[in-house]
Order: sequence, then structure tokens, then C-alpha cells
Amino acid sequence: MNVLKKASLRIEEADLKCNKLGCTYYGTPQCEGFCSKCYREHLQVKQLVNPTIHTAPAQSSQSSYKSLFSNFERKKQQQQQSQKNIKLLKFGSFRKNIEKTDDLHLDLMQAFSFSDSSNELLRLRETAQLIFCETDQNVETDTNKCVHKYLRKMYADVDAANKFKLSIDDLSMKTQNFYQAFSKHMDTNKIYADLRPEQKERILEYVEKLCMTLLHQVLFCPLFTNDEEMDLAIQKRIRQLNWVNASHLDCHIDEMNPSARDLAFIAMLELTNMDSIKTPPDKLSCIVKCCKSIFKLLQQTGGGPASADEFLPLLIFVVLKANPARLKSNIHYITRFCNAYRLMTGEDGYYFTNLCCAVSFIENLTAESLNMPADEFENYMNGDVVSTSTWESALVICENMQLMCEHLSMLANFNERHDKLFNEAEELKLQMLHFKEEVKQQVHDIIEKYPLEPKRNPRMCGENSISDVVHVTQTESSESSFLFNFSDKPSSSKNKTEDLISFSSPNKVCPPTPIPKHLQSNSSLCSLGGEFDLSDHSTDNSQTDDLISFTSNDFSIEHNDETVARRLENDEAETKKCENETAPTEPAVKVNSVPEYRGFSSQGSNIPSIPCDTGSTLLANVQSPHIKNSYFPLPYG
Amino acid sequence: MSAPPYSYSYIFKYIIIGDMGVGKSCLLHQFTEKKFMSDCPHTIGVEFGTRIIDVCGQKIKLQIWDTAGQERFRAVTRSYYRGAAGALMVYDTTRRTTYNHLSSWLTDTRNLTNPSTVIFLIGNKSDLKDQRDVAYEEAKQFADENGLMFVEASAKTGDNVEEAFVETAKKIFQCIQDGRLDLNATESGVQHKPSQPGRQTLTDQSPKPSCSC
Repeated sequence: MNVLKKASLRIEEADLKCNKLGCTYYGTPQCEGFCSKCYREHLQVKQLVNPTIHTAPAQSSQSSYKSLFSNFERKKQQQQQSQKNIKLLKFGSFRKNIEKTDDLHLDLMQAFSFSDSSNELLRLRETAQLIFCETDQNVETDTNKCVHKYLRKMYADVDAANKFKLSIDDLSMKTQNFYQAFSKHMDTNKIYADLRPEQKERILEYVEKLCMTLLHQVLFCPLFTNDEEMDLAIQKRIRQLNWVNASHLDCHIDEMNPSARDLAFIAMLELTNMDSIKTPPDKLSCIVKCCKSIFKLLQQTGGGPASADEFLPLLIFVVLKANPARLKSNIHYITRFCNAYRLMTGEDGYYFTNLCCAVSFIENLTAESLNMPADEFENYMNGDVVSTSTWESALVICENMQLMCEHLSMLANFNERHDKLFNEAEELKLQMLHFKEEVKQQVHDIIEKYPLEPKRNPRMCGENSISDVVHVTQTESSESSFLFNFSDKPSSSKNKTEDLISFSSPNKVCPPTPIPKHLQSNSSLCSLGGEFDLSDHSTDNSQTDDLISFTSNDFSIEHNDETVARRLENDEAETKKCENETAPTEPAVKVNSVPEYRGFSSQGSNIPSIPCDTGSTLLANVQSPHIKNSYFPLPYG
Repeated sequence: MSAPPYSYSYIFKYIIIGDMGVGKSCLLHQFTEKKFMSDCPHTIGVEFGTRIIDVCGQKIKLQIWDTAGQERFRAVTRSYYRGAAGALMVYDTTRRTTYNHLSSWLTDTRNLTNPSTVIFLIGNKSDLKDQRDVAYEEAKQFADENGLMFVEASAKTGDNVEEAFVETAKKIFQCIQDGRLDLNATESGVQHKPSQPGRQTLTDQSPKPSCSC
């Protein structure tokens, strides 16, 4: 699609404008290239000059195309005339007493040392800067001097040629001599002695481009040659041959394949672009690009190495379908004014030779060269038979195909993006889950690493309070509060650690209070003490107080229990004796008599309410363990 | 010109001619494909065959122009010949007609190139022994009569392909050293890339004959 759009650019706007200089309206072929207003004036003038000639606009299609071209020609003449006028004006306005060639020289000086706004010159100046920034100042000065000298001579020669004193071949010869002389000059002159060969080559190319950009106007399709007639002839010839298709030429091009079609379009586009470029080396590079895309096309369809046997027919096909503007002029211009060594060897030369062959084939095309009977060929040429499978009709058919292909590829693209999005979302989900797990794990690790130290319980301070028992017995409430604490500051693990430290630090700071002797004696009791401290920290005070009161009781009972266990063996016999007596009176013991209460110790946690004072009484009555032991089995029994 | 680093001192232009389907392109491909393994890959594409070889201690860049062999293009492909230092004339050992056309190819080559152009005759597809249509001796005799170098080669197996191209280059190089080949002539097909200044050869003969089209 882009290719097609680009292709239309080759008609410059100036070509569409009204023929009358200075008029900004568009012209039409029906009005001989004038806009309607100017055309009326033009007719009036014509009728005044020669009233007998009827100047009706051309009607038939063939003459209209001729008129289009003559319009072109007229325009060119006008341009040249105006140029001369400008030059004359310049001569007249200043430097009247200096000889003509010097003035031309001055023109040229102005042309490329100051701002001639043409893009080509601007680009050339950029390349010049690139080339000469690496070299001595003298190199640039000397190069410019040589160029000026040549251009001055050339302008004089072109003037002579316009008066038919010189032929185009003479000009070509002089140009080739200049190229050669200049390259010899670079080899011999000591200004250039320090340059590397590739630098010299670049300078040579620059000189060639510069000269040809400036001389393009006078040397391309000059009036003193018949180039224009030949352009017309080949153009007409190609139009007549528009029925020739790929199969006539035995070349295999898959017209239904969009990429093959694109490559063919690119090749045609490059070929038609050639006309809009001024210098021979750049024109050559257009040809090279054209041929390369043809080769790509061949490689695509052929699969193997492309051969010249297949290449030349396809190039002919491309030339036929592209019908490039001023084809012969371009070829002549390149042959005459491109540095000849470029055309002899190298890629450029090879492809240019191929193009010449293709054009020559088209010019000499006969029924025989297309392997068809002479009468069929004649019928085609006369337009009696219309080919049914021309490139154009194939194109029309394929237009929708192409559109569909584009849509399909767009859909595929969307699909791909959709899938990608889905996958990414899925991934994100996994990442989030993972992150969640990770955070959980980290929190867990940290809890394990830095278990909470007792804080409020004054008896518990000291290292031995940190033991496994703490987390084993951690209550649900304490854990959740812990988590909550962390989720308030969900930054990094370091933070959490700090948090934990700060959490536990008050504990360390808190002044150690004397620990009752009976508690100090048992380590398991100490660690259990951590439990209330934890719950104390996380839950509100009223609850904690209850718990403390409860659990402290419990521990003391347990403590009792252990001491009891130690003495158990000793007193076993005695216990058995008493067993029967104590069992039935259990509730009574519990409620009324403090000394008899000991029996609860082992299951204290299962009994929700135990009077606070029991602890102290119990402790006081450690001495009678046999009673407790005897009591123990009863609740379960 | 392409290939800025002058790792070679000469450029020889070769053309490959012969009927359609004798395997010109395959020979070219077989010969130049090696450059993908050894030389840098970003020189010139496959389509335009170039390879740098070593002959007598000199690095020589071969530029090989493949040509279309169809009969109907014969009239227009003459411009290929201009300035060829070497011409590889190919026939197919399994198709007699391609051999029979050799004399007309030879006439074209003689007429369109300069006398010092080295012509090398290659009988391609030597691997297809059971389908042989042209005897080695017959072709050898033809080559001797016309002063051509001759070898039977196979683009498929690579047999003798390298030799054909290199031998041609050796012969051309010999011509240069003998002074039979004028480096300064445009049509010599040889460019000397100056590593030493003062020997640059550019076109001498200036009004370039406009191409035959």
C-alpha cells in the first residue's frame, strides 16, 4: 500500500501547474497544460497571430498523451529560456566588463557555496563536510578549484553544443577526461599524498556528484540531442506492449502472493524514481535497488540461487510494467556522464548492463522473441485482441485479496497481543500469589528467628526465657496480633526485625524484679511465663490479668505436680492406703479445705475457675503430695 | 565502489556464458558460496558473485557476471562482454545441443572481447556419468583447436569448480606480468587497486561507447 502511495510522488507539483510562468493554478492536458484562464488568453493570442489555424484541444487519447508530453517539452524550453534570461540579467546587473565564462563561474560559486536551496546541493554539502573534515584544508580548496575549472569549461561547451558546434559525445568525452585527469591529479599531487585510497575514491565520487548536480539541467536530455524522441518512442513501445505478461517472458512471478507483489512494486518504484535523481551514481544506485528486490523476489519463488536466466526476463517484465519516465534519456545520461570505470565493473555496472539489455530487448521485441505466432503478436500489437491475464487485471482482482491479507495479518497481530496480555496477567497473578507466600514465609521466619521475649513479667527477664516453648504455646490471639503489627509496616524484613527488636527492647530495659525462689527453681515454668507476657502485650489488660491470675495458678500447680512426682515413689505405699478415703470427698476438699486441694495440679488448665488464693495455699502445702496423687485419677475414672 | 578496505590488489571481471540451464548460476554459486564461511558476509550479495582469491601471492577480487543464456536474449546481451578479463564458457555434458552451440558462443566472445581475454571451457554436470552425451576427448579436442583451457566440472559436487576459476585468474595474472594485458585499457577487465600511488587505472578511452541498446 505504501509503495503505491509513494509511487505517486514522482510527479512533481510543478509539472501539474499551469504552463504560464508565475501562474499558480493547475493546468490540464485539455487546455494544453494551461489553467482555464491562461488558456483563454493563450487562444486569443494565437488567433491574433494566426487566425486561420483552428486550435481545438486534442481529442483522441493518443494525441492527448502526445500533447501532454509536448507540454512537458514546452515547459522545459521555457525553463531554459528563463534561466538564460536570469543569467543575462546577472551579466547586465553587475560585472559588465568581465568575460562571460567568469560570470558563469561566479554563478556556480554562488550555487554551491551559498544557499541554492536545492536538496541535492544541501546533501552534497553535508557529504563534503564529512569528507573534508578528515583532510587538510588544501585538499578542499584544490578540489573546488578543479571543479570550478571544469564547470566553467563545461558551460562554455554546452553553449557551443547548443549552437551545434559540439556533439554530446564531445561533452561526454570531456567529462570522462576530467574524471580521469582529476583522479590522476589526486595520485600525483602532493596535496593528496596523505589520503587513503578510499578517501580519494570518496572525493572522486563527490566531485562527480557535484558536477553532475550542477550540470544536470543542461546535460540531461539536452535539446541538441534526439534523446527526447527516443524517450517518446520507447514510452509508446512499452504502452503498446502492455499486454505482455509474465508467462510470455517465461518468468515465474506469483502475482497472488502479497510479498512477491510488494517486491515487484518496490522494483518498479525504484526504477521510476531514477528519473527524479540528478547524479549518475545515485541513478545507478536506484537501478541496483530495483535489481536487488527482483533478486529477492526470485529467491523467494525459486528457493535456490537466482540465476541470470531468470533475472533478465523478470527485469524486462518490471521495465514493461513500470514504464519509467524518460528511460532512454536516463540511460544515455548515465552512460555519458557517469565515471566509466563504475560502469565497467562492480555491482552497479552489472545491473546497469542488465537494464540496458532489458531496454534493448523491449525495443527489438518481436513475435519470435516471445515465442508466439506472428499473427497473434500483430493482433495484440494492434489492440484487436485484449490479453485477459495482464498484470493490471491481476492487480484489480488482487486488490481485495491484498486488503484481506492485510486484515488477516492485523487480526493475527491482535490475537498475538491478546494472548500476550493474557499470559502477562496470568503471570502477574502468580507473582502476586508468590509474593503473598513470600511475605508470609518471611514473617514466619522472622518470628522463628526472633521470638518474642517476655516483657511485662519481671520474673522472666533473662536469656533463658527465650525457648521453644514460647511459640509452641503461643495462643491464637497473640499470633494474629503479631501479624497485624507487621502488616502495619510491610516494608522490608529489616524493618520487621527492627520492629521486633523495638518490640522486645522494653523487656530488656525493664528493671529486673526479684524472682520468687520457688519459680526460679524451674526452667519450664520460666518459659511458660513468657506466654502470659506475650498475651499480655497483645490483648487488653483485663483479659491479661485474668489469664495471668489463671495461668500463674496453673504453673504453681504444675510445679507442685513435679515435686510431687519426685516424691511419688517414696510415698507410693502410703498413697495407696489413703486413696479410697480421699476420693469421695473430693469436691469438699476443693472448696473447703485448702490443704486438701493439691489434687488439681496436673489438669489445672482444664478447670476454668480456681480461686486465686489457692496458689499460695498450694505452695504452702507442697509437703503433702501423696494426697494429690491419690486424687488424680478420679475425674477421669 | 563497494568494499572500502582494499584487501585485494586487483579486480578481474569474469563473465559466465552458455545456454540456458547448463548450470552457470550453480557454478557461480558453488564458487562464491565459500565466501560466506571465510570472508566477511556483508560485502556484496549472493546475486552478484564476488570472491577474493589468492593467486601468486596477490589478492585478487573476482567479479563474476552471470548472463542470461536464452537464445532470444543473445542479441541484447552483448554488452555483458565489454571489459571482461575472463570468460567461462559453459556447456552441459549431458545435453549435446548445449555443446553444439559452443561455436556461436565462442564467436560472440571473440568478437566482443579483447584478444587478451582468457576463455575457459567448462563441461558442467560431470557427476551425471551415466547420462553423458558429450565425450571428454571430443570437448578436449575442441578446446585445443580453439586455444581454450578446458576442464570438466560439477557444480553439484564442487568438483573442479574452484580450479576453473583460479586457473583463469592465474592465466590473466600471467598476462599482466608478461605485459600482454594493458592495465590502462578500459576494456581489459582488470583494475589495479593501488596500494602504491601512481598506478591507479581508470578509464582511458573516453567517449564511452553508449551501450548497445
